[in-house]
Amino acid sequence: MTAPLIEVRNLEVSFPAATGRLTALRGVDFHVNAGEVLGLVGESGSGKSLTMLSIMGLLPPSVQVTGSVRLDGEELLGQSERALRRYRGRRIAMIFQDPMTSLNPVIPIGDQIVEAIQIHQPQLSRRAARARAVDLLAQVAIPDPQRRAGQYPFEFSGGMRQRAMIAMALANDPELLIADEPTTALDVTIQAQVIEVMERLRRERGIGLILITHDLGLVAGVADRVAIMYAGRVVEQAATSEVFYRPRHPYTRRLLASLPRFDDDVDRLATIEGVPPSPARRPPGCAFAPRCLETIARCTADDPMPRLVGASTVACHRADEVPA
Amino acid sequence: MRALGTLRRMGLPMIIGGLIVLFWVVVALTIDLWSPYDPFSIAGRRLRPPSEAHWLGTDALGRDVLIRTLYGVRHSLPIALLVVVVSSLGGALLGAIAGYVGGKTDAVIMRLVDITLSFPAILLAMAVTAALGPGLGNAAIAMVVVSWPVYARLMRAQVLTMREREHVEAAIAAGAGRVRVLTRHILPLCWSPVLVNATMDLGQIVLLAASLSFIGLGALPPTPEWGQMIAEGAVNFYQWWVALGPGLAILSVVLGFNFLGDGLRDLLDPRSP
Repeated sequence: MTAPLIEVRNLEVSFPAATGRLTALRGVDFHVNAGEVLGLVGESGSGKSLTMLSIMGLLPPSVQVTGSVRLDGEELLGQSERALRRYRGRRIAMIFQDPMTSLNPVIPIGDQIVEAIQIHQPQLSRRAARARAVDLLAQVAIPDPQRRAGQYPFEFSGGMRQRAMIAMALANDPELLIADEPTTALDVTIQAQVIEVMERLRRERGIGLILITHDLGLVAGVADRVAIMYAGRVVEQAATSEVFYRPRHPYTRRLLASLPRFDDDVDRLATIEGVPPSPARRPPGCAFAPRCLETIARCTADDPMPRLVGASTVACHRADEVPA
Repeated sequence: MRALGTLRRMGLPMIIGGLIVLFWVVVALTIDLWSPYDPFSIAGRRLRPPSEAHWLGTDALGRDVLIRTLYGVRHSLPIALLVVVVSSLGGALLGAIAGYVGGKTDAVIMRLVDITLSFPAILLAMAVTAALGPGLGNAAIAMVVVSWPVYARLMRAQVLTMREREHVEAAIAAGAGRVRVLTRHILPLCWSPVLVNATMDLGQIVLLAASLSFIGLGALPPTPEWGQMIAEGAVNFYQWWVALGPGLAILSVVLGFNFLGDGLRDLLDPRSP
């Protein structure tokens, strides 16, 4: 068996704070194989984006990151800024959440893509880079790419900007693409276009994709595997169908239950009472226990570690006893 | 059509300011071609009130006040331009470094800014000129010394705001190095308040240069420099016209640049309608 494309092991991230250090990520484990889509799901503040920023080495030096992040077997954590720069944008590319603010407003789109290319391929002539930029725009279904390349971001619609961002991320043929809520800022029809583009790239180029989102519908449609995050930990991880048909963590079940359905007329949507605990006030036992409806005595005393149950990795004491 | 639209957006004050500045620039460039008198030689009887031959009268030596005033712009404008270009570029560069690098570098540069700004500008400029010796060149150096800190502060604040923009993080995530991030992704978004301030400063520097000359630290006689001319006119109290010409000149230039700067701010500020 070959090594996974990216393998994250026991990733911990902590911030300096007035009262000592706050641990925001507490042992995150997952991996993504080439050509695979991992859906990373969780509420705001559960640590999704933080996980991605630590993979990219984008966190400020005051933040302590421990554990292991291996790209094709190569350790990324602890590498120098200089060394990391050779990975960023070339082997791992990232698509940011908000296409409105993630492009430089004063540089034409085409030039921004040319720049992304030339950072990693300085030997390429400007003309060749330009041709490649236009080609990339065409690949993400931007009409009239030649003319569009000369336009500024404000002349693009939201969906086109997001696709331009994808074009930029693909500039150097990355092996891994991290998309941080790539469709949250877009309306539904545009979402479909963007997803279609990413789906095609995975098929045709076999790149690995980490899709950060809180859109479970999107995950169900696109992802091969799903990792559910809660309070800085992956609480459940399995193949997408496993997670949707046999959710083993109470949090996953409640998340799924809170989804509105087309075929069912309900007055109130199911909610999960309460809010996720902040890193400063995490309960001693399971972080989800205060909001959980299925707690036993052990839950408030003993923090459950992720373990293999059936085909899923779950962090719950009762994972094997409650069949959904 | 596009030019017309821009003209309409500029508004009246900016157009007036632009015309005033344009007037002085044209005068500075062409005065040799049409001036009826030499600014240094005696053109008529001394201390005559305004007349048909001398529209703003003559000064204590019998030189034409209007012509000397018009010639004066050849000293004021280039000096102001030089001082503003040097201090805005220098100050902005230091401010950008302070904001981007942070830490000790930031602390050192910004304390220097605080110290400089803790003196009244005119006093510090006087002290520096006095130390270097009178003359327009030294006055220019002194004016650079007093005017760079504002640019450093402006630029630092801009850089601190812009570096948090998401596209900066996106550029870093694309593998861009520090220098590239600063020069391509931060600085191009920072210059508009600096430009506005520089435009306004042009007028202020003209005024400051005139002040230094007025107290004898700037231009030396017989240079037709406005501050210097007002100083000469102040002696002849009852011959009000001697000081009137250069006084009006300073007023119009400062007003012109302020209008221009105000208009520029409205034009460059994305929040204005």
